[in-house]
Amino acid sequence: MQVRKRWVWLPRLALSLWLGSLAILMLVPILLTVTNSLMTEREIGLNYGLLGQMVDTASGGKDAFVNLKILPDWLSLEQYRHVLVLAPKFLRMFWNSAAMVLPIIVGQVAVAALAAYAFAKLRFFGRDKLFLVYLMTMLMPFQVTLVPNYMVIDWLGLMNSEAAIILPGIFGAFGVFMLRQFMAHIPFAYTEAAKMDGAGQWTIFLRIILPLAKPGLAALVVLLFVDYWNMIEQPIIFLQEAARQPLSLYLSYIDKEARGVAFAASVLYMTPMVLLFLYAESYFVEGVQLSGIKG
Amino acid sequence: MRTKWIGILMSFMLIFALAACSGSNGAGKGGQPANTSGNNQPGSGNGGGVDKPQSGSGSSTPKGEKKTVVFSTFWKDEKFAEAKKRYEALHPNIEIKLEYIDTDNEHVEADLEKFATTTNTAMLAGKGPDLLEMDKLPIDSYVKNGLLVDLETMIERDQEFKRGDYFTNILDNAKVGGGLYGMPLSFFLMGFAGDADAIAKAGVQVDDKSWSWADFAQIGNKLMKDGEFSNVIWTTPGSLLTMMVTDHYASFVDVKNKKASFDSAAFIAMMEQVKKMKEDGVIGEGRPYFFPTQINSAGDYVTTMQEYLSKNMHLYAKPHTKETTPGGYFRSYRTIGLNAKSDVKQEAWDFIKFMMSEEMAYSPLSAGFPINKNVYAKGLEELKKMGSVKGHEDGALKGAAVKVDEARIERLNGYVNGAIHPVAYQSDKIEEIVYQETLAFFSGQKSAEAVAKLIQNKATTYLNE
Amino acid sequence: MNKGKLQLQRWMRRDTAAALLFLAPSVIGFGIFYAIPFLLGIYESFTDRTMGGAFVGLDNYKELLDSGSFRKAAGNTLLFTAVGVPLLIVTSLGLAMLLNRSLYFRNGLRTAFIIPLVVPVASIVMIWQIFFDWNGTLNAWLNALGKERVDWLQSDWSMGIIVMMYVWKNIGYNMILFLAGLQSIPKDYYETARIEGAGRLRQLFGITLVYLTPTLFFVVLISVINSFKVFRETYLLAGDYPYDRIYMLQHFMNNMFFALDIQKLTAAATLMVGCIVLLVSGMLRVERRFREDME
Repeated sequence: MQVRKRWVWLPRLALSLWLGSLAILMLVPILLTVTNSLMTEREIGLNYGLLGQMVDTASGGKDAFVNLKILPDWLSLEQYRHVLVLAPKFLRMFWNSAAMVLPIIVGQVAVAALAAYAFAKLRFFGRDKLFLVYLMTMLMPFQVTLVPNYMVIDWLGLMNSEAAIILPGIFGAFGVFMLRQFMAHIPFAYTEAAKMDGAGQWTIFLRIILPLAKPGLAALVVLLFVDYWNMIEQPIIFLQEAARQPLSLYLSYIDKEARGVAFAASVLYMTPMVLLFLYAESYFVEGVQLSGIKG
Repeated sequence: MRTKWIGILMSFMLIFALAACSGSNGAGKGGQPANTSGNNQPGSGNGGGVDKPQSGSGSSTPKGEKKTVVFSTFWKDEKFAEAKKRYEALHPNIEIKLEYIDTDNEHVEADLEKFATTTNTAMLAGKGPDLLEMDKLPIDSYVKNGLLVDLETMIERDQEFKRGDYFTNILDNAKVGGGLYGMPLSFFLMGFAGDADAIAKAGVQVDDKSWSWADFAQIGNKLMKDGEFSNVIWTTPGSLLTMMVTDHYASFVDVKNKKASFDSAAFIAMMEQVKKMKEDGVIGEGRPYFFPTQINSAGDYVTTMQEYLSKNMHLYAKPHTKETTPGGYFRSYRTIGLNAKSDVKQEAWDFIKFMMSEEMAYSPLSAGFPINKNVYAKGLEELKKMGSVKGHEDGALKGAAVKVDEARIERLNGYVNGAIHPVAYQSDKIEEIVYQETLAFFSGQKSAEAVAKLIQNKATTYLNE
Repeated sequence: MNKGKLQLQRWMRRDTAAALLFLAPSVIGFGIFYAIPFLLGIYESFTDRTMGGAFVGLDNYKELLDSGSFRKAAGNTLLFTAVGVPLLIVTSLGLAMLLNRSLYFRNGLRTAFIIPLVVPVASIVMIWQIFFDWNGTLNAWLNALGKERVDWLQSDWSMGIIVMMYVWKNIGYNMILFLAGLQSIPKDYYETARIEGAGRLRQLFGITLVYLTPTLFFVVLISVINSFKVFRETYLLAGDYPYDRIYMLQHFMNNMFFALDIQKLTAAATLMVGCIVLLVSGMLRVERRFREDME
């Protein structure tokens, strides 16, 4: 026993190092994004101008390659200045995104938690069939539902308003599905015990299920944020007015001309997601202690 | 606001409950809008007088009822803004609502995709603008889905409309799928600007009524041998090959049987031939005899022709297959389509007519030859009065003025009236694939066979979708 | 026995009333924004014209199956899903379990694997382009080794590259779900098992994987859905008619949308959804058995 304890650090270190090298590989694209965001637009143009070009072999095409650089020639905040100061559009779109994504998250988590409880812990006629319907809608490609969605939104008179994005967002099936799966973990013994004590469904939901589903809720918030922060199709169709469009549209497509600032824009774009993730991480990596509640 | 919301939701629940039994059919009916145009324009909802065979002026609607015509374009266009202003001044009960994409240079491609997605969706949902600028939209698909009005039917019903006022060679040849689904408000001339004097000097005869690509190649060789200029044509191998493929479309693409034959020896030979033309200097940017060109306007005609630094430039029809009727090429510009689901068709048609009429301001220097012959003629008069046109600052003329002379204008009249072959505003998918993939071949990066195989695969995918 | 049955019925009735309340907000919104468009989309696949066409039965499906490109796209998509999804799930589950153990820099490692999730499409596309372009970095390296260039995205490597892009991007997504799922398994179970003398492997198969089943079910489906989303990157990298191998259903459907061929689009989508639903209902059945075991 003593021996094992003394040497336990070795496999742990080996595993950590192995995972660490994998992690570095995973991080390459992100590191490149960050370091390239500190280059001047000119440097970006020089390094990557050959992307998508076919250089004539008669004029040196054999040796025409992009110049992948990890570190910029010198640090420059020019890209950031361009994005933030010269293009106020970016900031406005940033704000638009936040103003749409936050209500969606709050709404979907609330609505989905309620529905998920019914699907996971209540018995009623047609439960699994209804659930299957929820799943099926998630599978339909957006091109198919685009036109019918347009009709519904137009019919409700929501065209060109944020509600056309927020309302469908709130009622998305994703949260229902996800929370149902997390609530399914929770043993019936807990709810049964509460019932014996005379607790109603509402109390059970609030006092037992929600606290136990905390890791799932935290994960849901993060994933919803990512999904809706990155949404592209819905705002394209439903928010024609440029002043209302979210940030995701700014970066959905990079024309060659915009390459110079794409990296800085990307860094700014992902910052909120990273911050949220770091904040929420502790919730879904901390274990749930059932024993406390059981008593 | 909130109460309105709850109201909508409640009423919707009711409808939902009712419609649930009748299934999607019921929901589909419920989806029929009370409003048109997807923009919540108040008052645009009343059924327009589409079926009333009236001589089509917006003023025939009852007084006091304001109607809105929504007109959607990709670019913000001063021309249309001007048309709106003038038209609204004449027709106080009509509002022309212009919609366009607020784009900038860095986002054109993204915004084009956005424009197509939005417009397709709205049109397919039976909404969308009343009028659309079709230049950037797939007009064939719109016609196939019955989304546009055949403007011939509007013309037939409209006694005011005199065909003779317009360039009928353009109107008749701008048809898609048997009808005039897009009204070209203006057009460009396409062709090869050629140095007639130099060609004659080299002892070469060019008959552009019937010259094929083979003739062109022959003439090219002769010019290279006997002529004094260093090149025959100012272009890129990719563009030239694409033009040739377009002309020999039938030998590479069998649309009916969904077969492509780009992996054939014939196509590879064609690629090699064009590459050789490049290597021999037939294609080059030194001092060529021919320049593939697009003439944007009468003023452009004067300067562009001069910009090639020769006194006697002619506009030749590009080479074509023997079966092609002799005639010049044109590209429609500002083609306007009318939404088949529009509630204000008559008003919209009236606005189209207005934009075609002499009441629109026209300058012989602005882009596009007008479809209206009188407007064109007036423009020429103005051009003559101006006496000369200033060349492009950054062009070969460096801003120097070019004199407008009578003989040259006379020739222009011939070209404008003789253009009968439409060149699509956007290139066909297969042309695009050919152009993109052959870049690697012409730059020497890939072999002809490898490129031909890629083109063959992609074309096959496209044809079999 | 009879008494028990009666009680069950009463339970059912009680649950149904509660379930209605819990479900109401979700079902209403879901019905409006998802179910109706979904049904309309399917309905369209049986008509001859967009919105209000005549019913033509299975004509569109016949035409669809006649399309060689559709068959090619379906085959490619099947291959991509069959390789990509299992690979992704095994990798992310393995990583999640490893990162759930005690390691050095565990938080940092976790973040490194999850962070690719937040990088916006635009900058990812640029980074991948820098690597895989004809003039890209990979070819520069090949050139340095004296080898011929490879047109990576127009060669048989392309499928592998897309799989890699998909796995890279989605590892984080799935890890969040798995980590949350792992945390939701009460620690007491492991303690009990240890006391009863169960080994590591027994714990893995007896507890971890069993209690992870609902999460796993969710992750499988979400991975399939996310595999559709890799289309955006592929499209931006290789265009609407990419190399044969990576011409997927998403390309087919997107091209059909832009050609306004809604009939083939909806038929293709319906067929695809139908196939996935078969898979899903199989999984639902497995899951139901698991839940009955738990109850």
